[in-house]
Amino acid sequence: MPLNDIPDVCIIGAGLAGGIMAYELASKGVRVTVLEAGPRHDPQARFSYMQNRLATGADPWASNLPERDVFTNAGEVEYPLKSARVKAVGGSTLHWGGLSLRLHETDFKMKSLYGLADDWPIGYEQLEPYYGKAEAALGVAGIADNPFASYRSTKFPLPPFPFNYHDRVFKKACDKLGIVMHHIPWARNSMPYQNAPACQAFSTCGSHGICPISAQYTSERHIQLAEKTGNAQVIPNANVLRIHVDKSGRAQSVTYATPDREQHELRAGAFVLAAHAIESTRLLLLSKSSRFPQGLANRSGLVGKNFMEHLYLSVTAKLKERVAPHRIGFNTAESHQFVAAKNKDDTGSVKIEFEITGPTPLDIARRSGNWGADLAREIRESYGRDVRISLEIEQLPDEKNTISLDPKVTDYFGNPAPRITYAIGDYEKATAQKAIEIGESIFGALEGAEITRGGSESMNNIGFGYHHMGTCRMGHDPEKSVVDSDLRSHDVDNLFIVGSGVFVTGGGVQPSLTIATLAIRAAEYLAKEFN
Amino acid sequence: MRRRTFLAIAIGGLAVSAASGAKILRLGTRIPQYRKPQLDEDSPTGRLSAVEMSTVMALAEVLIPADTKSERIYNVLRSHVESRTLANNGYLEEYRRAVALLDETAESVTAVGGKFAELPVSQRQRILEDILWEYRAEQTRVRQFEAIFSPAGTLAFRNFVVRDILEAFFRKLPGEAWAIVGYSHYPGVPADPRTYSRPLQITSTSNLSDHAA
Repeated sequence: MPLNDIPDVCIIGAGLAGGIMAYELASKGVRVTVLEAGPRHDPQARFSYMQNRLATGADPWASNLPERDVFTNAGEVEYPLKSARVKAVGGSTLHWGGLSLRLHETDFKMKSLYGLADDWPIGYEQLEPYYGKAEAALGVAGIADNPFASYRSTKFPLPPFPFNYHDRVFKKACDKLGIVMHHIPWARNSMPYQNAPACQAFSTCGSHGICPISAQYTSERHIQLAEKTGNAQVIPNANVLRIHVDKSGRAQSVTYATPDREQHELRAGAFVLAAHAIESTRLLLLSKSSRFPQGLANRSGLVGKNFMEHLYLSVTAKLKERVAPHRIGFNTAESHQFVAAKNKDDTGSVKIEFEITGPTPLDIARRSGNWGADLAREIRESYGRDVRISLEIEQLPDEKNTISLDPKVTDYFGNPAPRITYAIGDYEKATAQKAIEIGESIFGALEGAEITRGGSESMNNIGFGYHHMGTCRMGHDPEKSVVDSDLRSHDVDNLFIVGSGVFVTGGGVQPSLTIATLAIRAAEYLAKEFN
Repeated sequence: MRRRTFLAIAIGGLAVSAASGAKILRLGTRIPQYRKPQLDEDSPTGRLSAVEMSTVMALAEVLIPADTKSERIYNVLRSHVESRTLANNGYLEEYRRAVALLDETAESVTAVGGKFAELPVSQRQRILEDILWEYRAEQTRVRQFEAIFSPAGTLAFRNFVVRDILEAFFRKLPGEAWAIVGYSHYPGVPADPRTYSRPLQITSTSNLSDHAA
């Protein structure tokens, strides 16, 4: 498609949601242009990226334009946005873990079941077929052995990664406590799939965020497939500054700028905002006009409100026996026993992740005061004795947690930076306390395990999953939501918003598979308008 | 009074005062932030002289934890140091200061006043122990006092030179680094992906008889 053509659809953002939308639309004959703020990395260079990262520690996904990516914090909790996102073709899938989990059916009915938050305008039963499509699209390796998961009508497209040999360490304790461990669905090839090879255990996908052979899914895969249809083009380094509407209130064009600050305009028939929960929000707020004085698609005043995350706590222990970490880059066992609780009145979901991954020899050397033969001895004695339980905690939506525009700080293009106002509520703190107790009880049941980090110390070190959710929530009522169940903006009928910003609640698991699922469903709906 | 003796007395005095000691220890955790040495980013880049480089490699010989130290290891580390001083402002100056510190200490603690690089490994080890006494303290809390009592030059030596050489060893010589724990497959190297579901097979046996899973 020539660059100067007017596409049917302009997609803003080439991450997971944008990549899938691009392919789903282009493969159905819809002409698509994708504007991506960041650069396009060469997949062929992934091996050298890995080597350089191991040799120097340099993050290949670090911002290519840090002045563009400024942000501020205004809440009780400093939110570390810098390390939470990647701006490039592929988006955050370039450094994600690959966990591909379905939300539980109860997550869609929190209000009805527990009197908490709100219900989604769609239920698990409507999304279930699309979850299957998303698993096929991402190439998810798994097996349906999770007794706490909601029903599924399809098999996983790839067989699971077997348990780590040392998961048996945790299993001894979990068996005593009646906690069921099960396999993890990963968007990583356990055998060749979609022209990508099987995992070869380079062990750099988790901690280093790079699979050198692209056995782990990134949305570059769907971008490439979209381009192969002949109906899609991608423009990297295109930072969208505004969405413009015509007199009738329909989105008409966008202004985008390249790193040299030169501005361009692109018209399209419809627009899909796929820039993640924070930048999508910022762009809507920046695109205010006389017709939309609070920002585009913001009649409800809810754009930027209800920002949610998954909180992370961990309990670590030193074992008498040794495990052999770092033989693969990912975990192989979890327990969702506390994800879909029958009663969520007081505390929310807690997902247990079992991690056979302690400090590397380098990590031990950094903390040590030794060198030479003494250091070698210390590493031998210490290595392989640390294990960790990470606990992923549900956060409920709260209108006080917001993404807004900071009037005092501007970015590289002169636009207000996103301002994050974030706090952790009592419900989440109570859930975190429960999570710590679960973690400590597992190590308590494990003979010879000495907890080295947990309890109140962990409560002071709450981390994040970097799962940004809830800033453009979906719903039936235009007064109480930003998009409808097809992800069409209530206020601008040719503007769609995809990604985890539309989530009404966050559940207790990683959002990526649901992002992909919703994108496939929205693309199906949108494609009909052009066919 | 030697610095080591003074430090021991100071730490002992602080330890007996339990109530205020806790506060002081907390203060101790904050002091490193204020005394963190900074690289002089205005200082020039460049190459160390051959004599300076030989002193740095003599230091590396003591520092690195490899069981067997090959010519390949020294070539990689020499190349790393050369790249560092050529590419990153401040490092040439820090490496030169390190060479001076090592030679001055060698002259002061040896009867014959020898240069650091000319001393046997055992004497180089003792010199390093003397310079980095606070760093070697095993208790993390005690080590916080390093930031208070160590001379600025010692802090910079550890932060920019000792750490740089050790990091280079672990990052740029991963085969040798992971061999310490008996791994022949380690991050960055492909393997049979099912291996992790089986017990670890250790191929190297030096000092590792208790390591098999």
